[in-house]
Amino acid sequence: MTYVIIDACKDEKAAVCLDVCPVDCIIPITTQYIIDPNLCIDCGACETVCPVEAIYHEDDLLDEDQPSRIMAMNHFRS
Amino acid sequence: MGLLNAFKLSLLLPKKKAVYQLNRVKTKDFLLYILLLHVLFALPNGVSLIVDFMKSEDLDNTLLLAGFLYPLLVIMTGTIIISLLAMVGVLVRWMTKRKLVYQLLWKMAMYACTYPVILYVISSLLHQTTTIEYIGLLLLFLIIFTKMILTYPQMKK
Repeated sequence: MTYVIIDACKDEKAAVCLDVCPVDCIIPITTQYIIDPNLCIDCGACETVCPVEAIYHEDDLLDEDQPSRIMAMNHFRS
Repeated sequence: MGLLNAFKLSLLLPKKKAVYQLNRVKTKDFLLYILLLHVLFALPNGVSLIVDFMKSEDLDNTLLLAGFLYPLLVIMTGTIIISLLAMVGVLVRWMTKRKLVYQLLWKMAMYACTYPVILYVISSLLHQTTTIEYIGLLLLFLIIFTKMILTYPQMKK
């Protein structure tokens, strides 16, 4: 279980989540920020600070946001 | 519902699951929780103030004190106390090598106050709280708060 940053981040990239993450598991890619599911400790500190509500728990993701989860998984698989 | 959930989770502290779940409480509910804790904190003195108000000859001044100045003082005092307690968290964070921002420590300090505030209210309504009891409440807070901080992993070098 982990948190996922959906594509609402693309327009904003506020990076507030970077400061609050206690394990530094959020990294920037060209279009937005993504969470490393292998490092995320599931603490939820990033969820409430996101100004555009782009961070959701994996279990709360809508079907339309599933590509964001798959993108993060694929990014850190390699 | 969120407020009740935050209260229930605060009573489960310092369990790791509760610490992490409390991070997900919405800002609106968190602000309501601050208000709830302040009301609880003010309860013992508020009761005696209302009793004094009933007996008072000088109604204008007592009304001003009870209706405006006292709630303002409680909110200011509570906010300053929580901010100072969160500063203790900064020290614990540094000693235990955790990466926790002040705003997160502030929230954690707020939730860690739940048990001490409840015990303070019970103690104050029963009898005059003693210095030993105040120290005990502070120690209880520090134990809960430190354990909450320790639920987070150490910083990577």
